[in-house]
Amino acid sequence: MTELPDADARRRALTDLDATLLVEAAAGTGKTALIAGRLTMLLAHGIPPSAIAAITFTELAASSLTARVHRYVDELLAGDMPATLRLALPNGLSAKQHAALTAAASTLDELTASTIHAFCQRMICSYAVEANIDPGAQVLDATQARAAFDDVFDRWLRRRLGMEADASSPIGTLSRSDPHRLVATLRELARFRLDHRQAAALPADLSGRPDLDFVEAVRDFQRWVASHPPERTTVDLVDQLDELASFYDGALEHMTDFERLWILAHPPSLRCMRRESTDLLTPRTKGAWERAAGKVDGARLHDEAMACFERVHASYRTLRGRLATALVAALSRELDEVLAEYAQFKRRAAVLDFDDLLERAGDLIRGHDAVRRALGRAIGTFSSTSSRTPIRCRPRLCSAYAATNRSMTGMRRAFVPVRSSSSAIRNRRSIASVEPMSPRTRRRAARSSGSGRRM
Amino acid sequence: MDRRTVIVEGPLAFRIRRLQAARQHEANIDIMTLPSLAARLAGGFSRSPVPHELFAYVNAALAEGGFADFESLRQLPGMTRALVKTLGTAWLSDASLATLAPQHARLADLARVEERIRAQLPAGVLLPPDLRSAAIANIRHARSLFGEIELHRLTHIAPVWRPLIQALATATRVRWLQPGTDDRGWFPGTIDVGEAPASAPIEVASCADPRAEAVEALRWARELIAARRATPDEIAICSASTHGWDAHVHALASSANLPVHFSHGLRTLSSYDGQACAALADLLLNGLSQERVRRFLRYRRCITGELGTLPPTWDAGISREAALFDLEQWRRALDMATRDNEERTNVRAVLMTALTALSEGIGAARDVGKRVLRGEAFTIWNEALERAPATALEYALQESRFPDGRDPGASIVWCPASHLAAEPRPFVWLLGMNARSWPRRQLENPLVPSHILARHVFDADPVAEQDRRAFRLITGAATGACVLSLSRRSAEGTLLSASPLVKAGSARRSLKRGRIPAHAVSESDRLLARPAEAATTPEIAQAMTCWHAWERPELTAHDGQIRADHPVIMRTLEAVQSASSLRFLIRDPLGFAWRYGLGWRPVAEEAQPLSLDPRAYGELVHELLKRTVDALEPQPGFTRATRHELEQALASARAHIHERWPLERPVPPALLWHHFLDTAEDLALRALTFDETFLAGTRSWTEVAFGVPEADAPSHAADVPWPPTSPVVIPGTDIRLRGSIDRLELTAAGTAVRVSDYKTGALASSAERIALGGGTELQHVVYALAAKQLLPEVQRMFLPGAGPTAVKLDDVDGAIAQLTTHVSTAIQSLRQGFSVPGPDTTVEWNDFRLALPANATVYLARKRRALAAAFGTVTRAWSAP
Repeated sequence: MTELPDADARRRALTDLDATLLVEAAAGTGKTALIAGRLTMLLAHGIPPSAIAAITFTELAASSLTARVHRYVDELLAGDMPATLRLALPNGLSAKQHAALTAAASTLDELTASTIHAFCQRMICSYAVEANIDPGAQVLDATQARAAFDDVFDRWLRRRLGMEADASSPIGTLSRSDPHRLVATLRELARFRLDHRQAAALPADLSGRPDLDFVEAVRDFQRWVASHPPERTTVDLVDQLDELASFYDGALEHMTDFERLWILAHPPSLRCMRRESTDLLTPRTKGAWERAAGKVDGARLHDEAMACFERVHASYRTLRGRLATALVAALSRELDEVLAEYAQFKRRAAVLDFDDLLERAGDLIRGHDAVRRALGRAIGTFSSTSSRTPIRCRPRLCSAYAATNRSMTGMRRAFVPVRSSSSAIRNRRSIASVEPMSPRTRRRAARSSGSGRRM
Repeated sequence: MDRRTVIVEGPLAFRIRRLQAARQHEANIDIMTLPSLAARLAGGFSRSPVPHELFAYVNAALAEGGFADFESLRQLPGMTRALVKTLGTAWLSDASLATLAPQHARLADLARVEERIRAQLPAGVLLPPDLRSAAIANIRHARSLFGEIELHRLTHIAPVWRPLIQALATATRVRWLQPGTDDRGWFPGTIDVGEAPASAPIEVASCADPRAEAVEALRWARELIAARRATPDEIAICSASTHGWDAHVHALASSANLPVHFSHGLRTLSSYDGQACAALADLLLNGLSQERVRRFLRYRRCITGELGTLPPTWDAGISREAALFDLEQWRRALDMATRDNEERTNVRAVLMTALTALSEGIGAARDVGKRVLRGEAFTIWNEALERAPATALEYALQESRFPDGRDPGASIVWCPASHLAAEPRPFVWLLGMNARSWPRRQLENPLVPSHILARHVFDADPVAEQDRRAFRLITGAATGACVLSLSRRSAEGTLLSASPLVKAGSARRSLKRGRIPAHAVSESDRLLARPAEAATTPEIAQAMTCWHAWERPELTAHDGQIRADHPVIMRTLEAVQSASSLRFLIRDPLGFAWRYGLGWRPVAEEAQPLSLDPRAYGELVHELLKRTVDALEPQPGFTRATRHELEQALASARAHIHERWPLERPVPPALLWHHFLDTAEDLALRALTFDETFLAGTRSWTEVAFGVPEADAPSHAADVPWPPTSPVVIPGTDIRLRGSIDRLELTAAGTAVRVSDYKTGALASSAERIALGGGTELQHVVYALAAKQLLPEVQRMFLPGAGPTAVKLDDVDGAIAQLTTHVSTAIQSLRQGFSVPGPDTTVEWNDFRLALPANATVYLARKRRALAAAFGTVTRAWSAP
């Protein structure tokens, strides 16, 4: 049988057990098989199954990886040679390897092949006290967590709108001005906060008087119109903008509360706005100007008018953006309560959701030297840079990416020097590269993950 | 004859060994477990604490505080459980916490907890190591107390008991029969290994998923019994952990009517008393709600005192839809329900007292339990409260178990492998032979992980080791048959691999989920295996016919084809129609037959909505309008009322609805409800106030009804443009119409009329002229028709959405003529028996979509031709402008 063009790369991945490697290849090239082969080789090398961890993206990948390792071990012990391992074991198992595999086979279930969540769960279970987690905590699946959160949200909103409701709070204001959409709006915002729980709303910034900028821009436009030949559509537009300008004139002169902000965010509806919206429409007046002032002058005047309009539009957007930011910041503060109550619920009910697993595991590794050292001794080295804790390949730690290259981009960017995948596509059926993780690569990896903090 | 003492392990061995003794007329024999032997020797009433007592002691120990590592965790709900478990293994492993304490702050904390527990123990209750020491101190009595001691099978003797057994061996004869472990070098007595039985060959069955494994196991058991190869007491089904299988085995065994004994007990929540506790916990944890209160009061047998003797009609007069989420709402609802009835005031008093207690929340769980529960439910409640803090009550209830009341000597046993290992049976089926489920993973102890203390110090018998040993013992003793089953996929669908205990290369039978078994386990299993026989069951036959009918391109009874002039259809057509029923008639004849013919209604949505949906909001506005107008009629009369009178009438209508609605139907929380009423009131006021821009001298009415059947006619003669009972008939048909025009204005001369429609939900149509909109905009045409028929003088007509200019009467006539044609053809088609799906059948708001095949689009595409033929010219109505 002729060797595949990438046989050397494959062989290295199977036999260079002491190196930290990065295997990058396109979908369908056999990465999972290769990782399973490497795990089998580690076992044959005498590493106990309990000291190996393989992390995958999905439960399915984890279980198929486990199943494959089991199969390879079974076949090898039965005297067969799995195709993947033929490269590494051209002469079959040595007596020592056979003995090591036989020993490993009886405790093969202690091998960790799991998703990052399951791995984190195991980790924080061992260090519950350090991580300040209930030692009896159970993990909610995505559906249970969503239902629990919605429950907390409902209860919270019911309380905020119940007997002791504060009508002057942002929620009260929102309820008064738009009772029909209140619940949907708040629920959407709450879920958004939950999905991005590390994120906070931008702080409100109403300094610099964006209202004055807008009014000034409108006045400029008016002056321009007054000093040029009239064009009906443009004059009409400026009249409408004048109405808008008087709505916002001096709006931010004093400190504004939520209710005032809410009113400011809902200007009168005008014809120059998009339907069902308060966005301004860009006028299409080129033809009108040409008709009014001739082809040449018309084009120039149109451009000047458009420049005026663009200034108005830009300052209008800035103003509305600032108002919206301030509104969201105020509502977001209200929703802090929901998130706090959800956290409290989880603590009281002794449950964790998926994001907690990653978050707590990250905190654990970042905050506890002793834990980090102990984990390193047990299964390898961790580099903790963000909550999506990337895990490096180390001699006894394999990171298996059974998913396709496309779906791993997110992860890859977190810790792998991003490489154009075109080479992988050219060599569709081959492992694109097996690259050792040199200190330099690691530095790059750390940079691309947004933090240089490493062990 | 000398007395003998037999020591057994686990509940199964205990009961079976007693049964054997009885069957063999053994006398002078005592059967007990090691802890009870120690307790007996330690003297008098000594014993070790039972688990739920331990929970209480640990809780008290934690409450004292003053820990190094545990301080921040001591309030957490899982902490008690974790501590009880950790201390339990530590005691059994004979690890001296006091000695280990200096090694680590965590161990010092544990030692502190132990010390505090010890201080709380009442006289005679001793922790296992102390009990052991007390027993050894009395070793001189051993011979007279126990006679000869026989250790029956015991698979593992915890280190804590070993010194006691060594001491016993000095005082009396100790034999160990068929020891289940090789760890016996320390044992000083006689060991009788016995003859290794010839175990049956191991078969491996690979099944689809865990449930399929349970099905196969029970089929196998049934086959053994039916073929007289084994009696139930020789058969065992087990798994390393029964979790995940209990529910399947319980359900399958009851439907199979097989005697299956759960040696580890049934879940408390599967009992009546357990459910009563769950209902009470739900009430206390999640607050009062009508549903929760009703659920709890259903468990009358478990409720004590006056509350338990409430008549079953306690809820008379309380609407099921009423929003009753706090005491105040209950008080008002009960006031109303019991107002006119002297006898029922007692009900009110009893309920209010109980509800006041129930509204106190989970903090008062213990008191509330004492006041409302009785019997077994009361016991379960207290045990659950002792096991964990009240806030974690649901979890504590989930974990509690009770004996199933079956005799293990006459039943198949279903149990954890550890129980069976201590009392093996000849015919065994081992479930869950998958990686990680047998042997189970050795998890770190979260309180004392291995980086603090080497694992074996605290856990002399790790779970993975227990599982491997149980596997060896069970398969070794299986002389009749031994089947290992494994799942190809988990219940969630992930691929699973075989346990390392399943020997590589062993022959596997792969059993498909839908295979036809030689022995079916239950009626439904048998029917599944025999499609031909199943097809004769009327229900299945009907379902199959329906399924096949849906697959065929032609129309069948299952698509809504019925006989011509079906009486239900005829009766329905004779009734007075409305704009909405006409829409169904034209665009969804199937829905027309279901809704108006058979009277089907969708069930109400959630009991406690946070918001008002558009339909409810529309009803709110219309009720406001109607109440206001009714209040003004006949005096001073709506049209003559001053603005002030109008506003007052509106305000009192609002106040009435504000009070009344919450008692009759669900409404949003207070503030939002208030704001909804505000916007509705604004809208109503705009609708009611006279429009100055219209012609002077115009008279105006709101909520003008037409075509009302005599029976529903209003009692007072209001000032109206026409009597509400005046009939409106679609010209050229027998179809009578009814409806209510939101607002109608008529000029002084009576020649011009304006009809207004207050859209509360969707946007008003922007049509510039009167239109049918393919049968979706019938309301305007129906209003125009009513106005035209009832006000024959009218020459100019302004219709909703038609803008400031009057529609041409010719257009109105044209629209009416169109309506007539479409309604007539639709009726014709329906009378021919085609109550079949139309274009509105699959729209999102149609609640009847639920009754259609799951993929309705594909289904309708298949029937397209037949439907087109059935509808004939009706289809033109759907595209009418």
